[in-house]
Formats: sequence, structure tokens, C-alpha cells
Amino acid sequence: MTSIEPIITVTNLCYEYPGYRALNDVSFSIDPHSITALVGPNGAGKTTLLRCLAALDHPFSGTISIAGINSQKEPRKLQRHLGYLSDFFGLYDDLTVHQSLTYMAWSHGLHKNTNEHVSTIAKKLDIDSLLNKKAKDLSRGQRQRLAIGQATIHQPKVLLLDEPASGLDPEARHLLSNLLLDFKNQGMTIIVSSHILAELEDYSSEMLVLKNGAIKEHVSLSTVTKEEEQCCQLEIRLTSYNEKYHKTLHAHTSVQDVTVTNNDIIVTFAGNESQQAEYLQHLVKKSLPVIRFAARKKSFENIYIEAVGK
Amino acid sequence: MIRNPELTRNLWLEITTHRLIAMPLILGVIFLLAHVAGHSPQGSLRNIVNISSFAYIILVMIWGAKNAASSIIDEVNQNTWDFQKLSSITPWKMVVGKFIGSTLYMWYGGIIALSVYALASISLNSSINASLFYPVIKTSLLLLTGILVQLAAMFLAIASLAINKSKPARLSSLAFVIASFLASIPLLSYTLSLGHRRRSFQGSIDWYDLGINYTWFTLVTLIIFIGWTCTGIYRLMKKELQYPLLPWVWTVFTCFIVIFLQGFFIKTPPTVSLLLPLFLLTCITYLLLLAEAKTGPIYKKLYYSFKSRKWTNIFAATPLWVITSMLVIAYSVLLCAVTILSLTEVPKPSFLIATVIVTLLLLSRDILIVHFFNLPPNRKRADMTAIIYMIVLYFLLPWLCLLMDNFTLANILVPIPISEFPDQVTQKSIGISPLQAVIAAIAQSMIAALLFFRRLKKIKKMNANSND
Repeated sequence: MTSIEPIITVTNLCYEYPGYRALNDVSFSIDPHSITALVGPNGAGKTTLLRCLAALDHPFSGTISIAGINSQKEPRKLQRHLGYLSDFFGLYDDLTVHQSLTYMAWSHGLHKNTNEHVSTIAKKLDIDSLLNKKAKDLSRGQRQRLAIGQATIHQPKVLLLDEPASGLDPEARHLLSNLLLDFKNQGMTIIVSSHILAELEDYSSEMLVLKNGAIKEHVSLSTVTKEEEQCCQLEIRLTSYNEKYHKTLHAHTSVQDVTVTNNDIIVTFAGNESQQAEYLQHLVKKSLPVIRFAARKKSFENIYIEAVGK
Repeated sequence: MIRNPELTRNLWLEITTHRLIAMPLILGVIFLLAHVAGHSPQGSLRNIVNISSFAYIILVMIWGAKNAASSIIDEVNQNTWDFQKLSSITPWKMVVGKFIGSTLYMWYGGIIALSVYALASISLNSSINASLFYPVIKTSLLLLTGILVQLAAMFLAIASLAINKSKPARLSSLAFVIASFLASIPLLSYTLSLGHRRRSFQGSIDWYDLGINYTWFTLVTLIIFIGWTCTGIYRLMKKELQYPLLPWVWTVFTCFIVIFLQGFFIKTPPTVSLLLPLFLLTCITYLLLLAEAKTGPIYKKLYYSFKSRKWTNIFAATPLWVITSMLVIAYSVLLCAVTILSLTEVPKPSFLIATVIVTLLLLSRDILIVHFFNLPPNRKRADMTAIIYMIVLYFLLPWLCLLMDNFTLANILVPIPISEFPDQVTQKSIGISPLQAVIAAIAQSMIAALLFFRRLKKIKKMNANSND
């Protein structure tokens, strides 16, 4: 079995503001072609971490390596492989969308076929009809897409987004989710910091929980799913509950615990999906009036709350 | 195709057909009014000369300087600086693009005004049979002063970013424009008064006893300082764009300034001319000490650079005030060695050596005072507080002592070694013997060190407790 070489490796990173340590001995690695949700309470150090990854701020100790390039030794070389969008990004308000994207393309050395680059990214971001509009005349969602276009016009290997969904309406958020998945499928590695956990769940493959400048949890969703395959909580609802059902509910080898609240039953079940199906058949066979049977998924929120509470 | 994206972007914003037509139109109307207001042909020409020089100053030295400073400040205020820092534009292209791009429109108007000024001055001088050389030289001086003021405003803007590494508050380019314009006023008044009654082109300046023509000296000095300002902007831009910056250019510049200013004091007594570089270097150290950030992370980074034992990292992380204070120490050692080995004729060697030692000790005391106030993480206006304390120590307390006839205490507070002690000096005079001055300075430095290390220990303890 071959192991995947991580694209981002952070080792013992420490960053300080006067009188306050924003990042304390942070270490982690991120696999290529993944979307990592960077979450944590306000002041946890998310923005500082992203700025350090973008080689915009330099830690006083520790190392960051992206695509094999050390951020302290070769920050400019590293930045060629990066796209970064800060939470309070700005645009050149008096430039048109076309001029803004052209400027960014040239800034990244894309002097040949610039118009092609511009139209490709504009189409991808669904702003191709706004090319002649000035940035100041765009809506919040359109501005956000233009900013993402500026950050990705040079097709970076790694994209860092700080709170990209803040202030966006549900439709714009949905578009953003699709866009990020699209970037991921094209081979980009993305780190997104956000407070909106439910939304991160739609597209993230990993979650990095930061609290007080330290990593509290770094989980891969595939690991969570595998864990859930082994042990999960089943939510069962009956039309009405009767004490005589108690024995039937326990009568399976995978059942570990049963909790009953009115007609709702939570069963801690140590079994895979086929065993779950077998258990449902058993309940129906014993004439239990089942109207709902579902495995409770461990949400991002649950993982986050558990990690932050540590 | 222009291969400088920053220049192109600025041109997109600055140059429009409407603006290109409006500038000469407005200037034309102003010059026409000036011409009409003159009651005689000479009066009209004089009006045009005055108005065109005024228009040039407004367009190039105020508006243009504002644009040059804004080309940096606006990026920070509008949160577009990160995009630029992440781009692959080289520092030189960034400087050229920002400077030329942001000021080009003002130069468009400025060159029109300056051309009218030159033509009107030449016409005026030929009408009164005066030398035509003045208009040419004055136009050149105005042109160079305009460039220098704009560069100075841009330099101050980018230096403010380099100094304040934590996100600067909403910066205003106005402060930098005012500072650079005020600094240019003596140069401007000299330029504009050239050729008038008391300002002759023939005057000369004794620089290293060379007797150089004043105007030529001004012209050459302007060109040299334009070069240094360009270098400064380029170096700071390099630093902003994450290139490692070694302080050798700063060292060369400091030495240049000392050698340049020394040239004006060549006829002073040997002791003064030997001590002058020391005082100049000390003044530059004070200036940088108060201007540069002195936060814990900066010194931690320096500490870790030392641990890595890589000279590039160490020099890149070393604050400039430390580099300059190294020059102060190096010059002091050189001066003492020269005096002790009698390589140069110094009338009172003990006085000179004591002055060097006292200067070094008082500098170290003040460095400790400044850091004492900068140590607490929640410090506010630490540098201003340190300045106030230094004013109290250097001026107010000694003055109070003198008023109370306590000369001993005044001499301890400001230990000035004097060469004539003790034969000709009475008890009631300012200045003490070289040995007493050194002892007083050592005592002051030790007290400052004691206070500094006590506070450092206290803060370390506080940090350890908060981490627990």
C-alpha cells in the first residue's frame, strides 16, 4: 500500500503578537486534493495560521512546507503555488471585472493568452456576463466570486480561504460550495476557515479544530465514516411504545444500549449496515410499529463541540 | 505591450481622455487670467512666472506627492495589499509601476506648468537683459525637488508599513505629504529666490574645504538624495514582498550621511571633528530606536535566528537601531585606539576618551529606558513616555538643580566631561572631570539596567502564570 505524500506540512509552528501567543506548537499535515475545514472559536488563531501558510506572516519558530517548498527559505517561490483570500479582502473598485482579472493574470506572469485565462475563470465563476462592469457595482456575492477569481487565476496548487461565505446569501453559498468542489476535482488542495459548520460539511473532506492557538482535533471524514460503520446510534420511532417491546429491542447481539424517551428510541449499535438491516427486519418481524429507522450521523458540529470542549 | 501590470493598472485608473483634455484646459485658463491681470508685458510675464511655479508646486509637490504616498497606503487601507504581496511582480517593477503610474497625470500637468514657467522666465529675463542661466537652473532645481518630494512621501509611506508590522490603523497619506513638503521648503525658497537681489548664483559652499558653487552643489546633492530615496523605497518594497533584506545598504547609507555632513564641519577644532561622527551616529541610533517596533516577537525571532546560526537570518532579523549602534561602538573603539596610540594629534586625549565612554553609557541607558517602557504587552504610547523621561533626565531635572544652585546633582545627571577641569573650573560650573563623568554615567546605566531587568523578570513571571 502506498502512502500519499502530504502537500502541506506544518511542524511546531509558533506565532506571537505582542503579549499574546496566537499559535502554540502547531503541527499537522494535509493530503493533496482535499478540502480541509479550519474551524475554531473567535481568536483561536485561524486567520494567523492561514496568513502563515500564505507566507504573509512569518512565525518565530517552526516550519511550513507547501509542495516541498519551505515558507521561510523561499516565500516567493511558495506563493507562486498559492491562492489566498483574506476575510476582509478588497477589490479595485474603479476597475472593471475584465481589468481586475487581467491585472491579476499579468501579476502572476500570465502574459500570454491573457484573455483566454480571463474568460475561462470568468465562466467558471459565472461572472462572464459582468466583465465590463466596475467592481464597485457588483453585489456581495459577485464581489466574492471576483475575489476568488483573482486568487485562482494562476491555477494554484493550494487555495486558502478565510471566511469566504460570510455575508453571502444562501444561493451564493450554494454556488461557492459547488465551486470549491469543482476546484478540488481539478486537483487543488483547499483550506477553508468558516463558522458555518453545516455548510462546511457539504464539501469538506477533513476538519482541523483550532482552539487557543493549538490543534484540538484533526479528523478525516472518511475515518469518521469508517468509525460509524463499526458503531453508531440508531434512531427508532414507534407509533406507540409498550414495555413489552423492551426485550425485542435488546434481542440482537450488536445492541449495546437502549434509551427510550416516549416513542423515540436511541439504540447504540455496534454493527455494519447489513447488521442494521437485519435488526430492522427483526423488529418488524416481532410486530413493532416502526415508523422511523435511521443511523444517526456524527455531524461536523458534534465533532467540533467534542473537540472544543476538550 | 507594457509588461508592468502595476503601471498598467495605475494608468487605467489615472489616465482618461476626459482628464487628458481637462488638465491643459484648466491650466490654460489660469495662465490666461494671470496674463490679463498684468498691467504691462513684464507684469504679465511676472504673473505667469509666479502662477506657473505655484501650479507646479500644487500639482507635483502636493497632489503628486499625495498620489505617490497613496499608491502604498491605499493598498493597505483597501485590503488589496495581500493580493499584491502574493503576486509575482518584482520589487523594482512594483516601485516603478506605483511611482510612475500614480504620479503620471500630475506630471502631465506639472510639466505643462514647468514649461510655461521656463518660457516665461526666459522671456522675462531677456526683456530685462538678465542672465538666461537662472531660468534654466531654477527649472532644473524645481524638477528635481518635485521628484524628491514625491519619492520622500512614498518612502515615508512604505517605511511606516515596515515599522508598524501589526496591521496599521487607517493610515493617511496626508501626514507623509505634509512631512515631505515641509522638509522641501528651505530648498524651494532657495530655488525660487535664486537670481533675486541677495541670492547670487556665484555663492560657494565650503564642503571639505572645496569651495563648491552653491547651486551646483544643491543640484548634485539633490540627484544623490533622489538616488538614495529610490534605493530606500526599493529596499523596503523588497522587504514587504518577502525578500530577505540584509542591512549592508543601510550601513553604507549611514556612513555616507556621516561623511557628507562631516564635510560641513571641516574647519572645526580636531576634537570636535573627531567627535562629530560619533554624535551623528548616536543621533541616527536614537531616531531608529524610537521609530522601529520593539515588541517581544521581534526579539524572539532574532533569538531563534541566532540559534539557527545562519548569518542571513540573523542580519535579516536584526533591527536597524542595533546595526547602527554597532557602528557607534565600532567608531568609538576606532577613535579611542587612534587617541591612545597617538595616531592623530588630540589636545586632551582623556577628555575625548571620556566623552566617547559617557556617550556610549548614556546611549545604553536610554536604550534600556525605551525598552523598559516597551516591555509590558499592554503598553500604550511607550516611546512617547520614554521621550518624556529622557527630556526630564537631560533637561528639566538638571535645569531645576541649576535653579536650586545644586551644580553637583546637575553634573551627575548630565555628566559632561570637560578638558579644563580642575585648574580653571570652579565648583559652580557645568561639567566635571572625565573620570567623574564616566562614574556618573556608569551609575545611571546600572540603575537603568536594574530597573529594566526587574521589570523583565516580572513580565516573564506574569507570562508563565498566564500560560499555566
